[in-house]
Amino acid sequence: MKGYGFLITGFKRYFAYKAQVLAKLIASPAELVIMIIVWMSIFNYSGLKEIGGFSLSEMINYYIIIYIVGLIISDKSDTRLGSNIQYGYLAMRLLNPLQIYQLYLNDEFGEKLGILFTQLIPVVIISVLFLGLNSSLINALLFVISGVLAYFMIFFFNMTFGLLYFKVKEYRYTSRIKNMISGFLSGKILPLSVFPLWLSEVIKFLPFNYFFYAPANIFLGKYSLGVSLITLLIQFSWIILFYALFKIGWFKALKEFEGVGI
Amino acid sequence: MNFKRFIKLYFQNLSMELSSVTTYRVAFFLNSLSLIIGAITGPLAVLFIYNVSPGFNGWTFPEMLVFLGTIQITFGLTHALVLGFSWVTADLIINGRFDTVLLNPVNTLGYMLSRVIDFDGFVQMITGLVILIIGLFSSGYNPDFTNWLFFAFLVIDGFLLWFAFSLLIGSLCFKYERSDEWFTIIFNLAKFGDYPLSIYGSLLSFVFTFIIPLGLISYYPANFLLGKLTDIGLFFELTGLMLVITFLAVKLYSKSLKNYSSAGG
Repeated sequence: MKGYGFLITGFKRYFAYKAQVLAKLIASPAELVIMIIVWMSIFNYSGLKEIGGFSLSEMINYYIIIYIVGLIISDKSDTRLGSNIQYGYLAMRLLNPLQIYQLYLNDEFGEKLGILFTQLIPVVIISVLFLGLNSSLINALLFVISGVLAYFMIFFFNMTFGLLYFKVKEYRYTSRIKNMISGFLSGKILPLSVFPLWLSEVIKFLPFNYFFYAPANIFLGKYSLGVSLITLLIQFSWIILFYALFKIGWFKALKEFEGVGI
Repeated sequence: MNFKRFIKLYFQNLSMELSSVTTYRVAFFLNSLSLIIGAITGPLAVLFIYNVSPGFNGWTFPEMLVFLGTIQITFGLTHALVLGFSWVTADLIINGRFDTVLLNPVNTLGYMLSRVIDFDGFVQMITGLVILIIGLFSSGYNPDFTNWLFFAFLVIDGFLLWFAFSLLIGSLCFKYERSDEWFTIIFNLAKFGDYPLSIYGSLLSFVFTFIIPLGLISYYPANFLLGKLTDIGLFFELTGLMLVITFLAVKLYSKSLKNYSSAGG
């Protein structure tokens, strides 16, 4: 396997700073706990049985799933590309027999393996045993496929977005703005059904909907089997589109690339 | 280091930061834009929640705007004056350059504080102020001078809380490498202060008032500004608590600095 070395590097890097891993383990569930408390309070205060089409238990499960999806699909490939361009490492990366996206993917997979063992598996076990997270087998299976597709979607979206850094040198804040907007429109902060109708209708045509909201709805059984399968197909189509855009943009950008930035 | 000398040094570093902002204008603009977007998404999400429910217990939407604006003001002040403290300390220690700081004929803590000024924080403060004023106008409530005075002191208390956190992490950096990562934990735990304490129940409310006073990030300043709280005793208790916490944090930092033995301790 050509990228095995990068996968191992990514895995080792994840565990390189033990304090960092421990900090993530302690810190990252805090947001989930807060969201659960917030929604329990809102439901309790309002006396409503459903908000935005979600009951309280569904809302809690929604945020658990969002947290799990977040662990799967977190991706920094655009900032990685931006830093490689800005600091001139890209020239070295181009000498590698692997294509740039294969290189980053293997590296990311290594980190994901670390996340799988330290965060994902413990969170799933705790959520199932103590927080009442459950789903049908078919929905859980479709969710796993949708989660993996969401990862590839976000990866190629980020790689395509990262091409911008051949022109715009400031990648950190540009990426932060992109993450804020895509995070908000993806249902990461609030379920899209809570958004005003006109906005949620617009978001349906954007890719962000398929990063968090669609996988969560599949798991919760909010989509019928047919709709779930169509969702997977749309996710796959977005991957093909972003991959094609990246390939076209990449070859154009490389023609202008001169080693140390642009 | 006498105070006059510290002020001179502080303003010199402030002018250097200003030069940096004017040199890297695009970076400053993009960072400011990201902070503004970040500040707007909170009220937007809360607005959507209020559209489909009565929202947070005891808080109307305009009052929540005041609450959210206050978070940005407190954190903006922190961002402008002390936020980079632990990261800069960690970087200097890891790269072995902290020794050069110790060679300077100035107070180390004062010098480090003068190095971490960040203009982006002021952008965040202004954004927060705009959100707060919109909230006040929409609520129809007109705070008097006393309300504003309580508010200002409690925002400073909130800032002191972040300062104490920064000193705590900075102190750990003298002993353990990459302790700045622990700031991630503090950041995430501090998110408990992003919502009114009334949603947490009595035990957590007590903890976030008197043990780890996260309520000072926004809950108490906003409450006093809106006249929802007028208990002067509580105001003095919270301010006294923050003075004690800050004093202990400065002492801890000084002690850790004395025990520092170069190259990561």
